[in-house]
Amino acid sequence: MKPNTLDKADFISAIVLIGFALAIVAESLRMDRLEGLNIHPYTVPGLVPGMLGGLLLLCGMALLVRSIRRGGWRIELQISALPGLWHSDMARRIGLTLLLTFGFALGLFGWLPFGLGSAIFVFAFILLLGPRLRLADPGWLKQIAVAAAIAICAGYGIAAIFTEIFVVKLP
Amino acid sequence: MNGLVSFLSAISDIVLSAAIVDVLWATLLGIVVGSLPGLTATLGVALMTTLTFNFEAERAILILICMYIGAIYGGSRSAILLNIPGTPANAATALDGFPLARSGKAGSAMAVATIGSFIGSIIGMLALALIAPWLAEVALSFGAFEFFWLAVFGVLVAGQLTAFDDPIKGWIAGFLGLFVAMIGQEGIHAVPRFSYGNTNLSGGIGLLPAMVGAFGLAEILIVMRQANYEVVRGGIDSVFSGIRNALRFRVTAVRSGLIGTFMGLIPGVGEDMGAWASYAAARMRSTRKDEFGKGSVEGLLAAETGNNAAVPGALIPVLTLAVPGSAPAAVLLAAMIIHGVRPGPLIMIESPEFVYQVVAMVFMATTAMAVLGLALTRPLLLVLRIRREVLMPIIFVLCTVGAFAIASRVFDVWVMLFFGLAGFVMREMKYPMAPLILGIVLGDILDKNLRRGLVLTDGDLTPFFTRPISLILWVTAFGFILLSMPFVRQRIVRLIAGIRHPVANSDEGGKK
Repeated sequence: MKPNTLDKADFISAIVLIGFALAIVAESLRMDRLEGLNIHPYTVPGLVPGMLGGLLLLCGMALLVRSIRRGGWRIELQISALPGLWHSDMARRIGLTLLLTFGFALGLFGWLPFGLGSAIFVFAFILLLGPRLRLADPGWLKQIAVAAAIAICAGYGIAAIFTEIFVVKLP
Repeated sequence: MNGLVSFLSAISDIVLSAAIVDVLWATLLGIVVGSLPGLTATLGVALMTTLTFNFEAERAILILICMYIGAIYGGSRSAILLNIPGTPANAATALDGFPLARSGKAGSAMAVATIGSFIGSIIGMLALALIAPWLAEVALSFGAFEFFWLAVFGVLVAGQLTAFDDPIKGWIAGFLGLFVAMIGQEGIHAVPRFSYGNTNLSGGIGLLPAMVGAFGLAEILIVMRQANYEVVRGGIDSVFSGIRNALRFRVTAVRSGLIGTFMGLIPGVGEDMGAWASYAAARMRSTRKDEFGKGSVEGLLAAETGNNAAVPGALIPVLTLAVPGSAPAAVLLAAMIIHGVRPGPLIMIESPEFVYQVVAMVFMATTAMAVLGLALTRPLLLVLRIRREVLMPIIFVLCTVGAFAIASRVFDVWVMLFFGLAGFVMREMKYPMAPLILGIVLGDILDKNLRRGLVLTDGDLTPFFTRPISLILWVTAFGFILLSMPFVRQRIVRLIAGIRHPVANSDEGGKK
């Protein structure tokens, strides 16, 4: 991230942090003080979270002041830049990685047999994030076969290692 | 003398049993994990903790220490051959390692890194054997006040040193980590905090799923964001010339070992700073300063000695204070607690032999690292040729199972995803991860000891500031904060200049 972009990101994150810190302070004040149990007043559960909320608030304000001084508040949303971002290779790779990893952890893990779910995930990852598959190339079938072989070995291999060697219970 | 006997007995126990096989495979796996960009020592130790969950305590801890030492050393491979540090601790290694590799001296550079790592680990190991018993004895006088300040000191100093250019972000990361530790039932009255009736949240946020996310998924996203890497082309020269070259800089190696060990001792600072501080000191004292950054053997040796010395250094506070010296050491601390070992001031009273067992484990792992590192220089190159789109999904599968395995809770997988995404965004915005993790570890210590201390004094804050060790801790911690402020630093520089050149300054004053 370039320094200028970082200042803008700091400006936004400082606002988010201040909001978060205020929420922590409010929650800490609202927390049960256990008066009915006659506890020592210095052991109330909200004491330390409240202090942390205060410290985060101070840090958030310091970050906000600094980012304003550096011009980070001048946020310009450049709609024209969005299609470029969409087509950039970096954004595509991050987007696909997020989609596949979250898809595996939330969609496949625990819903399909572990070996099968892992193999599908590894196969999709290799094909979508590896060298582009071109049907015009003579080696496209080999590329798919290699990806499938790696995926099956990885999926079922990991399952075997976890359950047989390390005696870990899989979902 | 008893310590030496315990150490030798532990060594013979490892050598004369099947544990030696564990030493070899775990160290080799550590080297492989460390050499692969995107896999850090922290992730390696965290994943291995979940895998060795069902093992006996001694066996599991031996494997974790081998993984830790192997991974910190292994990171030098990719730093030298790819110009990408395998772990953050090897960033300084790349400065001189990669230029050496490009000039056809990759084999020599890897040998220098191996010798440096070996010397560093051995110096750190000696410090562990000598300092840990003494520190444990000192820590026996620690009360609630001292432990409170130790937690504050750890978070502030780690925040400052891991984000040197922007300490405020380091502190924010540390405070966020402390806040994460507040989620779930608190330790005095068992009141659930920030749980909102959710039973999963009432149980608290597990350190291991959080670490697997912050160091696993976040790293995967960072690796996949970058353009693909290529291994340096050209031949690999002989490792023997590297060994000879490294041994020419014995003073640098010893100095870097001591600096690295000291950096490891400071809570949460760890191997990265061990390497950078040793590198800076070597450059300052070198007669060939101009070679640094262009392929200096001395610079490479200093960086690798410093980071590996920090590993045993980081184990000293783990064993004696139950406070981690680095992020991987935080996982090791969690693993010790999971396996029923109770690190802390009482360790030299309850199980003094355990400290020397750990020293023996460090020695065995270090020896295995040096032997495997030198013998397998060429075969280990093959690891770096694995394509990232093949490696990363496999790592993610391991992260998912690793997060799940400890408690068999799907909630921990969600925690891993959350911390992975948050860790990626935070790193993109230059927030360090180490204070966050240290905060999660120290949150409970800080919370309980502040409240206990206040009950003991009936709300009087005086003992927090006047007891000798408390005084040292808070003065040092706040000294660090003051030093991070530019105007304070400028004043100090002016003051020092004034003391050094009083005549010149008074002349200037006269002219005005």
